Amino acid sequence: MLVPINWLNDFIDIQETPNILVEKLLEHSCEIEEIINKSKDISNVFVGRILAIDKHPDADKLVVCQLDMGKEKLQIVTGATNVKVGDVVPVAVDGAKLPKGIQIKTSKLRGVLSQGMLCSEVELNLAQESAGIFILPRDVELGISVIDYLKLDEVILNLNILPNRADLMSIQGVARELSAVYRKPVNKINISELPVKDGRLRIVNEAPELCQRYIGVVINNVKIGSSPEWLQKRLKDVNIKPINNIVDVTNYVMMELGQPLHAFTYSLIDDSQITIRKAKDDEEMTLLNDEILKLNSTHLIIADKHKPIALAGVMGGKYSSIMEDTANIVLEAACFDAVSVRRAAFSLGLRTESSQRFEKGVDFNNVEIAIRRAILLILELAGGEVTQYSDVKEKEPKKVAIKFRPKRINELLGTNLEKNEMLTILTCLGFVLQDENIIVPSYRAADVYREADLVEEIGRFHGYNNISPVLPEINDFSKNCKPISHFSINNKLREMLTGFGANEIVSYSMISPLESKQLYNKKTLAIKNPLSITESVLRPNLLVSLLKNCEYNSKNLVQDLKTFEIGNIFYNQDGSIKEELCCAALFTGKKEKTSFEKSERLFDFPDLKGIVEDILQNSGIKKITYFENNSFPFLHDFRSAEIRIGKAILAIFGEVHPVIQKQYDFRRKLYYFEIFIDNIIKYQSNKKQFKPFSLYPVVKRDVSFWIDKKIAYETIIKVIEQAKPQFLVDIKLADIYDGNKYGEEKINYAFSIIFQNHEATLTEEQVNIDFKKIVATLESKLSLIFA
Amino acid sequence: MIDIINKIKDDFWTLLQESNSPDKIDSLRVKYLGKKGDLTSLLKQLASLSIEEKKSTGALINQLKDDITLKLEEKFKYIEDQAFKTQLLNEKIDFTLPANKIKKGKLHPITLVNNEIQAIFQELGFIIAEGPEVENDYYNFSALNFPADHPARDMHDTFYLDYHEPRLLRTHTSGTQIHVLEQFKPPVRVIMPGKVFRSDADISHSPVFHQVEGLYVDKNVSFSHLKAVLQYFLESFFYKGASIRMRPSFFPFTEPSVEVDVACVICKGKGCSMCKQSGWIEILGAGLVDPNVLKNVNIDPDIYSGFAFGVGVERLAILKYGINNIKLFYDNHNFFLEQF
Ligand SMILES: [Zn+2]
Repeated sequence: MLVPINWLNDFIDIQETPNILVEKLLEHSCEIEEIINKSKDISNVFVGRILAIDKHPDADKLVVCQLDMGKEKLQIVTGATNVKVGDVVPVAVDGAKLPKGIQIKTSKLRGVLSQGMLCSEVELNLAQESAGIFILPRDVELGISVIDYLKLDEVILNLNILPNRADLMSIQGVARELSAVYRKPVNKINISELPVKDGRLRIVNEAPELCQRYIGVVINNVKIGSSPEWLQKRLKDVNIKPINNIVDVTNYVMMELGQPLHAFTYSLIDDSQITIRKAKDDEEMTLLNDEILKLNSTHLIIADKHKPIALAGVMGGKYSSIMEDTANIVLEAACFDAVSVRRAAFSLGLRTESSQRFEKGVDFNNVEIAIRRAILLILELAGGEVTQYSDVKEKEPKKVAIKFRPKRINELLGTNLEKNEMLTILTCLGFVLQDENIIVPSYRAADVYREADLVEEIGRFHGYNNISPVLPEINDFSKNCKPISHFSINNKLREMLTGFGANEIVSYSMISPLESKQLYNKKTLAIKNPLSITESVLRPNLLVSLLKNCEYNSKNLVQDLKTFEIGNIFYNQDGSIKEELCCAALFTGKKEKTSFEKSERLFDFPDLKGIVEDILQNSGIKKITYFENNSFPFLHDFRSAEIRIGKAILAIFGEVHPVIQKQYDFRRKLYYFEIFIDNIIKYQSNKKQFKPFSLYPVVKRDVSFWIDKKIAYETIIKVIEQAKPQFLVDIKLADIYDGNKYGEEKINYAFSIIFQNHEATLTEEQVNIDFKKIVATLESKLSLIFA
Repeated sequence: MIDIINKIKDDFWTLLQESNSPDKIDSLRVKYLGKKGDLTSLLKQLASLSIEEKKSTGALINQLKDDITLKLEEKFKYIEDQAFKTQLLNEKIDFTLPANKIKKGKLHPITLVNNEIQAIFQELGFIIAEGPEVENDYYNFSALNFPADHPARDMHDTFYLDYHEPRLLRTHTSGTQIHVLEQFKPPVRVIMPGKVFRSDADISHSPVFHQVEGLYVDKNVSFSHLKAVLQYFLESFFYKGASIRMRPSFFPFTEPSVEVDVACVICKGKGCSMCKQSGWIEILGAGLVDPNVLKNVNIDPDIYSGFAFGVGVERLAILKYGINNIKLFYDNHNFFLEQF
């Protein structure tokens, strides 16, 4: 919202530097985006009159102008075609500075002396486009600075108005705020002497729920022309292009009072009747820019007998707009439903100054004030007489009254303000105390209707910075409030994983649907309105994120990677949305990147299993059972496993499927695990039980044999345990040898079996008995060849 | 006899100086103190002397014997010490050689900042709570007093899911306030960290970012409590004495609502490029819980009041670590991660 300070001064007399003004607004009202001073980048540009225009001797497209600058004469070469002898124009003289860093110097153009430049509005940064040189009125004093003449040093504030402050969408509204800051009154505009004839414009409101009030006025015999300089200047200051005196007045009043207005050509309204109704499906309306709007029954329109003439509150149609030869006009001021205007503006992509005000809500009472202000301005600037005036009111809004409880207000703010101090603030803002109630002015009814809203008004004008901080007592609320959070398990997982050397990553939850189907083990959920196709599906596992990251790193110098992420995954399970917290890690490349040691090896499956097992054990999973991977297609079919308790999957791990590895063009194998945190929580036990330990010496016996590869290692261990050796404490795999001595299907294992007694030192005999049992059981239960 | 003793003494001294190894000290011991050693044979010669002489000369010899024994021990110890020192010197390691370490992984800066925020609020008695990332309109908007089709919703560019019921990705952590207040009656003092989503992206905005939401509902909770809590937090997080500034703002779920600025952490308020010369940095939004929000969870706003606030984690991390591009957080390059 652009607010020229001098316009503001029409309403409130403030002699304050713009910087202080901005600080006050920031402290009490709203944010300031920018302080605009158009003179800042302009110097040495003066008003001059063209005395003569001659052809350039050596260039067809240039002319040589002689200029009267008041005290001196200048010669300037220009390519402009819109200037005539006698025109008064802005002249940038030698040494002038213009916006965008342009500097003007005396020079020769094709051999002819040029002592400056004639300026267009674009060159002075006064407009986005201009047809040629900026032609000024002929009565302007020659030689005066353009900054002074155009009042470019007047400061304009660009305010950032929040959605709840419809009342600040006008110069008057901002003035009201300053009134409470400076405790000064706001000047009222004079709208009383309105010459109204008895004529009544026919208005039919077929949608009273969407249009609370509609005032239509007919003014006859207006003379369409340009607006006066002062009005054009103010419109340009707020970035509105002047069109003609009628349209300019509607825009001027909108900016000043916050009420959008619209003007139609009366003679082009069929049957001279205004109808407010919902559009029919497939009805069309042509806009001023010849664009054709396709309307439907959700759109509220203003129509004549046959057709729509305006999209209510958003934009007028071309057909009955104001034209050069318009003589009689219909002026409209209305109170349209905020939601309806908002939906229409959104659905048709037409967010206008008008719609932005309606969607925040306009003031029922202000409709009349604004139209009266506009009528008086039109009569003044375009002549004519008011012949018809109709005011259609549906239900009038109720006055808002809020019980005034100074004690409660102080309690909520933590202040100790006197009742009168509160009332001073409220009175400046237009609130009135009536009995024990505060009556809210209609222009604030949209955002002030409860005690809390009064608390805000008093808080912000007393100044939040004047409220003393008091720490609340620190009580233990955990007895009363025990929310479930993953905070502690997440931090534990983070601690363990960083301990294993993995770095934590944080990724987007959205991924590309184009990733390999093999990556998905679940039905994914898509985003209806993604920013891009690469971020249009919610990730059904964390592998996608970790792979993407691995790809990015490997393309950017990092090949050895250990990363993990803790985050939510999302999927559609039998029609319902599942959101699940997971912890996953990806390992690839050298196992331990040491500084200068030569012996390095690649990270492998047992490394991965070790990490997963350690994490689960340290998370309180006492017994870990491995199963074949049946549900996760993104892992290598025969180099992966699940850890389950019953049907609940606690973790999966393994080598990333070679198909995926190939797709991403990774040269090294990738190892991945995913832990399902909620299942860990479900099955974890934090019980710790001490067991006595023995310090009697241990005895080690080795055994080595060849066995069929198909026999799982775990089976061998179980067989050894089945022998029930009395003193067995541990079975260690000492070596694996996958040689061809007994054919490809056999593998050699060397075990170290550890014995210990808890009560005394073991005897040779005791160990021999146990060891023999083991060997005998192995031989009887498994087919093996001792090495 | 005395001359002989003196000669032995002088000879010993000369030999002792020359002896620089344990072996040589040993042979000196044998030479002087051994069974056939010089002093032993000298003592044997005493027999031929008179009692008087025997006594005085014997004492001299014994004195010499004690001296030699002591000197030999001293020299032996000295040699041993020297040898040990040499050995240590030979074992010298160049401690400037690179370390060979099992490198610990690093936590993401978002986690680090989150942990720091949580620790500070835990000091003030806040408990951690979580909420879902996929929400419905009620929790993300309407329960938080965002009317349907209200311009307030424009501030939240929302991702919607392609699903048979309307579902969205939460645009803020504020919805968790509702989940918590549905489950627990006041007094409630919680912080709610989490990932949030907005469907806009540019150089300074990422469609995914993190917030920490705070909520305290009880009897007699006031704006001055809010101010003190935020002051405590920002001073703990940035620097002691960091001044804060509050100015009016608008959030549908708080009334009054404020924007909180902290004196620029770079220039301490003097004005620099980080704070666009204003000396202030916008850091969080806060306010008293709107009575409509309390009503939505069946809490009587005439009895209870509360405050809430929300802070952007990336923003804090940017200020704390001087990270100059929000994209870095989500690129997760190892060179970035290993700096924290
Ligand atoms: Zn600064």
